[in-house]
Amino acid sequence: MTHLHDDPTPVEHDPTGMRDLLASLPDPGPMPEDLVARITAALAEESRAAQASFTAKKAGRVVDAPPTTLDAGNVVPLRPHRPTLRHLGVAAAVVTAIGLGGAALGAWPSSLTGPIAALSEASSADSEAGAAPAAPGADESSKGGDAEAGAGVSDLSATDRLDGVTIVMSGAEHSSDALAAAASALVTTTYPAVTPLTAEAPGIGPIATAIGARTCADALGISPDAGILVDVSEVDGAPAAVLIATDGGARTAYAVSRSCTTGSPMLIAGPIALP
Amino acid sequence: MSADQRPGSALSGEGDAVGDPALVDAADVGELTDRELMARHVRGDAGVAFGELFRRHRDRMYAVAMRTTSNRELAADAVQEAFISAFRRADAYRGEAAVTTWLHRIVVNACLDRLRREKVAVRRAGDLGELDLPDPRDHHSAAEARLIVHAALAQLPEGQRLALVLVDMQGLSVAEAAVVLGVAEGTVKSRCFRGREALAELVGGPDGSRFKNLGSEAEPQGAP
Repeated sequence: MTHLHDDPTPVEHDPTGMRDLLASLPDPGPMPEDLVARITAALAEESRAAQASFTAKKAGRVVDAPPTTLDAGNVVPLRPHRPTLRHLGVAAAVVTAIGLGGAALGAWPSSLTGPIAALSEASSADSEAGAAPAAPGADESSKGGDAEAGAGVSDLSATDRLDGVTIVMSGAEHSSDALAAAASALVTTTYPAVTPLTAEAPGIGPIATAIGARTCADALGISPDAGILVDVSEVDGAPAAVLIATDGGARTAYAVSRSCTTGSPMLIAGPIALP
Repeated sequence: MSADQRPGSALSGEGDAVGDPALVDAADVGELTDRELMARHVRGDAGVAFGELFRRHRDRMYAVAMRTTSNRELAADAVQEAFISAFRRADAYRGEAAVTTWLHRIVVNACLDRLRREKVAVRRAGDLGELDLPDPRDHHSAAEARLIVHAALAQLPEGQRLALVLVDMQGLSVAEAAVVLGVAEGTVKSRCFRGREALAELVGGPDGSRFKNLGSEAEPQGAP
């Protein structure tokens, strides 16, 4: 049975009886007290982090970035018995955010440095809040740059730190049916400086990191020599990412879940060759 | 949940008076609308306004998370992520939809994110088995029947399941559900119609007559 989108039938009309059946199911009940306490504690930590940012601003320091989901020190941990993907993702994110800083530019327009800098500034702000210890890669990230000043746009675009991965957050809601157009727009649009980490989804998985993006690219069969652009955004209304690979002058677009990783690319759409 | 309860307790950890002290005034927060609370939170008020929002909406958001994931652990993790995200990203709220609709959207997205990650984890563990739906022609108690309905609901395509959860179970209007899901209202209606038809097929009987009066017993713990 087909229902047109402009079907005038009211949604209440239900000859199957399923609407009443579903409505008759009992409510799950109030939020459990232990969960209320857990979230309350987490929000209190958020407030403290906000205060740290507020204080820093009053002192004239640049800490515009809100705490991110990569900032494990500012969040009351979720249940410890569900460790696998979360821990891998957070570990990768922390290592990358602190160690590698923002992803560098290779085959991508210099106008994309704004969003990348935003990511790096977020990690910089987290570090200033004492949220996470320095990662082994931290020294590398400061090569050729001014580590104390924090990663800025010019620092990120330094050519001696290129790794071919660019991560942006366009804030766009892409459609898998129009992936080619969306991907083409991503590589041609000039991104202004954006508020850091404006992704729709609460949890930003490892794909928002250089390591995670490269791992996802590997899972998709993309050459390790290819330049990678990842837009952490939404596809078909759900948290996802658009990944564009540039290899030998050819660009290919994919839409993947943010959980895309080795052995599980979680492909939503693509590959689509871009002009 | 009524809005006349006094606020300020949700985030009142020890010594956490944060934000601009000039804006911290919890005395009247319970009288503010959701939109006013959001605006106040964005200005900075030590988390008091957001604490009130959390208190007002936590049960409803927990319910939608439970109904979306059908798993208490996933729901708990998702709703925590969602509230933290909402706290951080309050400045992204434009006031075009109700605050509760905005929160629904964040919670649903968090649930979908969790469900997809869980699906990958299960696949990696080698557990590819699917839930066996009990034969609806058998006799079932009300509790068993509810499990059957939950299991059937879980078998629906994601879009249809979410539409039914939001419209038929959470009581959102089609317009609100459309905002939450980021689709057109017609799409929500279409998904509802198709989802109900598919659900009726799964639970047996065109009118679901085998599963009347399911709400007479307590909700089972950890529904499938």
